Amino acid sequence: MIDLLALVMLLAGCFFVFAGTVGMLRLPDVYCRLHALTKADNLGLLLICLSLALLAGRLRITLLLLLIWLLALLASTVSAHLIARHSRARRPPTGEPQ
Amino acid sequence: MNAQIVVDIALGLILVGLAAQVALGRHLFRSIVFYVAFGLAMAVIWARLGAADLALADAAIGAGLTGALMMVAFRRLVGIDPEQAQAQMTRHSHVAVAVAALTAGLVATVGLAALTMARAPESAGMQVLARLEETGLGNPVTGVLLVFRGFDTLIEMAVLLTAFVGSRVMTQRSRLNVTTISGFELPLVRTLVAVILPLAVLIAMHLLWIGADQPGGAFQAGAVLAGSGVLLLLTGTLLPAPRSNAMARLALVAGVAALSLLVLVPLSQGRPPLAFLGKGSLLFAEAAMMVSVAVSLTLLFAGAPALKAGRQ
Repeated sequence: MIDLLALVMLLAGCFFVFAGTVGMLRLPDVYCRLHALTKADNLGLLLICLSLALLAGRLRITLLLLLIWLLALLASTVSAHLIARHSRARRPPTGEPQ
Repeated sequence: MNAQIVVDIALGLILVGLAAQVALGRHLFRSIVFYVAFGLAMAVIWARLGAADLALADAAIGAGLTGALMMVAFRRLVGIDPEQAQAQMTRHSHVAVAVAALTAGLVATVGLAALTMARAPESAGMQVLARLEETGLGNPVTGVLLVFRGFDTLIEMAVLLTAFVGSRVMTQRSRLNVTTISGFELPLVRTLVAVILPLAVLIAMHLLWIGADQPGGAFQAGAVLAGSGVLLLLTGTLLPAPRSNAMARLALVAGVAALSLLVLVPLSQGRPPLAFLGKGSLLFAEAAMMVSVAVSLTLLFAGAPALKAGRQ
């Protein structure tokens, strides 16, 4: 039962990471790409971490995986903000595809 | 064919593909980005091969620090010679193709030969594993680096020092104070630094401490510390100083000096050079090497002979 739940979460996590990658490659401008990448990838990473924690079944590993996710979340938040800020300073968003 | 081999072959193909992108890339910046991805793929492959020490070193130095150094070098190139930085590289020499093909053939031949050979019973690796107990170390990599092949590590630290001095000679006339990113004053960035820095220092000390028994050690710890130094430089908390000072020089030579002590102290007691002095002496040498690695890499990134405190 736990294995099945972990498998479902792992597959869902892979789907979100894949969707984020497709978004980064296909979406029209830097803001849309950032949106796709940071939102979908962080959700995907959380699902993958949760499923690995379920499979490990140990508190220590669960906490370490949670720490990894929080650090990735923090890093992607700040870098997305900086990239968007830099991009806005160079070329303000027009609403039109670039 | 089982799933493991499929993953390994896929990783190998990814590595070769990334290497081709680095070498054949039309644009310098693109090649740098692919080089960082190459370092990460290499780290994953080392981890798959069970070489956790190398995986850590490649992720921290190969992908992280070297990537940061190349990025900052590119940015300086944009400042010095924008045309060269943006130039499309379309010309590839025919000699390069021939050399690449020959090298690939050589690697394939040696690899195939190594796969078919039986493992020699008295190889150096086996002897290290057999005699590792005498040193009381749990990590054979640390045993080789500091006990069995200590001279190699001494020379490696000397190479790092020489490379740093060489880069100073090359760059001392240029004005290279273009490292700070815009936006470092934002509360968001300050929060990131405030969270990441203590964790990075903790990880570096952990890597140094467990290096004797588990994957880790001076080079990995130094690279993590250097990463923190790069972060502090980018956010303007540390600034490049125009003149060197005693602290910076001491930190740069600490690794060579500590390893030289490991050579000389046994000699003064009438034992062979680099005779094993106990775990404490190794930790001392590794700590000194960590400081030297961290300071050299941070100063290379800063393009300066020393650092000074910037905005708080």
